[in-house]
Amino acid sequence: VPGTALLLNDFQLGPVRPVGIALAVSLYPLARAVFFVDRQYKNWGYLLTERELVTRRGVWWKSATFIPRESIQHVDINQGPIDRWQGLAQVVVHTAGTGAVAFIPGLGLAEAQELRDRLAATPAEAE
Amino acid sequence: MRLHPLSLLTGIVLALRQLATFIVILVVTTLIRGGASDRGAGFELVWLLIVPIVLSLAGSLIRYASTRYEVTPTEVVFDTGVVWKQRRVIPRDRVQEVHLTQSLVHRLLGLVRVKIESAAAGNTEIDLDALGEEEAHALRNTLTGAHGPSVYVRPTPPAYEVGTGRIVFASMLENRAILLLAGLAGAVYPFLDERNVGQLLKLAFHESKSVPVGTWLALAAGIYLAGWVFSGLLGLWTFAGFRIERHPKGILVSYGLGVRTQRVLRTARIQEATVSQGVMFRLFRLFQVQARSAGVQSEDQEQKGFGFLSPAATEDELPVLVDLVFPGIGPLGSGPWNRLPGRSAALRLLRVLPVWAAILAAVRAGVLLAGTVSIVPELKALQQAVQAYALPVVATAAALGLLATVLRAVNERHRLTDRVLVHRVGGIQRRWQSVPANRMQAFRVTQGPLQRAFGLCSASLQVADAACSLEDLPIAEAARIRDRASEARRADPRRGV
Repeated sequence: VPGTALLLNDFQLGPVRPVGIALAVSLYPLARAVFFVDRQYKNWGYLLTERELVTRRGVWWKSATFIPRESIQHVDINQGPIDRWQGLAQVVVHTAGTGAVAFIPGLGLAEAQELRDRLAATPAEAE
Repeated sequence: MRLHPLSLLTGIVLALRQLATFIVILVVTTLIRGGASDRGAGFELVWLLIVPIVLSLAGSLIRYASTRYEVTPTEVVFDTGVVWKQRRVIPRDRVQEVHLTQSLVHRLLGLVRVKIESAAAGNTEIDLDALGEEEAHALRNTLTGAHGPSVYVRPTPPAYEVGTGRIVFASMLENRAILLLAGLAGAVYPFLDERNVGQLLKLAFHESKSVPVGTWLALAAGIYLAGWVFSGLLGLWTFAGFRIERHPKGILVSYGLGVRTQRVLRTARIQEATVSQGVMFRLFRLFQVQARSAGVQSEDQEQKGFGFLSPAATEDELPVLVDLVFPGIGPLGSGPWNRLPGRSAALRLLRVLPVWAAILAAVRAGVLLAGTVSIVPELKALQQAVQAYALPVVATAAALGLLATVLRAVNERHRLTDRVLVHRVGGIQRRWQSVPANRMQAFRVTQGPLQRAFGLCSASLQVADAACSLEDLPIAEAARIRDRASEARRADPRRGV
């Protein structure tokens, strides 16, 4: 949104600058990926205990989410085109109410399916 | 089953009310212009009234003919529409709330509008406008599992009641003179033309010097007083006869003089209870209490899930009210309050300081710039005023803003009983939010770079349709809350939503 505001302002100045700014804006994710991706990768993590699922993420702003296993309503496995090419999958955990609560990306498909089955089983069955 | 036949009339009234502003403006302009055609204003007026009435009659006939509902042992089925036919099915065990509302027209005709809401996401409610009174109450009792006679019988003693005097008094604590003036201006607006406006402007600016100051003061005082009376009446119109009764599945809240609302809140699905206190309410030791049950957030919170438990409660009544939604927790929980450590206030100051510094720098630059610009002579006084006062005014605002930040941090408290997490915020205006910890869905901890330097974090306890967010807590405290909340969840045998 700040990028859009910049673009709109600059349309009055001439046709060249918006292009430059658009380039800069679109290069930002790339630059971010190059500088942050390894640290982001290292900080992603999940832990499944007998009582809860814990996920962890973030480089500057770190966050951890704790979900009691009885609260889990349903579990999705999502695969984008790049995931499919690399044989990866993303596990999404939903609780009651609106919105997904936890994302675990970049798992191998087999590992994702195994995690999904463990999450979907009631804790008593899992033990 | 069909809607009540008289709902044809409510349909017309509803449609006419939606068109009311439009019709009034058309009628007034027709009267002022004297009619465009040779046949005069009268002819046009007749058409202006007949066309909307015929159209809305046709609309409500179609609605009446195409709407059906049926309650089976397991489902509520609702069919509507002629071109776009729609069937809506709500499983009966998913019925979240049943609202009964009566507008003045409904009451005169003995009708009730029934809304059935489910807990699912999206627009899934069934709106029956309108049924006969007995049918509506019978339907409500069937769906909410009330036993006994199918005709609604009011249980004798209400669990909670607010007297008319207190409703009026509490409403008058907020002076709505501005609203009154805006309404009057809106009503007068269609009658204004250039001539009237010119006269008004003359009266206000050129002849104002001949009117003594006393008259102006008296006029202002009169408007202010009228604002109070208006606020009291508005409060009475909205909240008169406020009472809460116990109901097999929860509580039944009913209030209102204009639109009489009856709402059943299922206690087991309450997501959040909020007690709030504005400045005036705090001065007179009154509280507003609201509760929200699970459901989808909508722009119209009053309609979906969010409901008053009291528009003006005294301190002694708080335990009774909170007990209605979270049985057995006492007045806003019990036990000692936990405060934030001093470094939380320091961190918050550190966060807002750069913002105020930037604002001050911008204002200073603006003042310097204003000094260099040559300006039309008429605005010279304004320019001088800006140069003299802008910086001190903004600096005072900054100082007050910083003070408010500290005040908020010092006054923030929370406590966790075995059932609820209570969070108190606000230095001057207060708010207590309670969420059921035993129905926790997830717990989230976040920590930004600044917080990491201070050893603090933000924690959020999420239930199905609400969240209690505690900012700038010590990490150990967040961990303690998480542990106790998951304990509370495990200890609850029902483990509900």
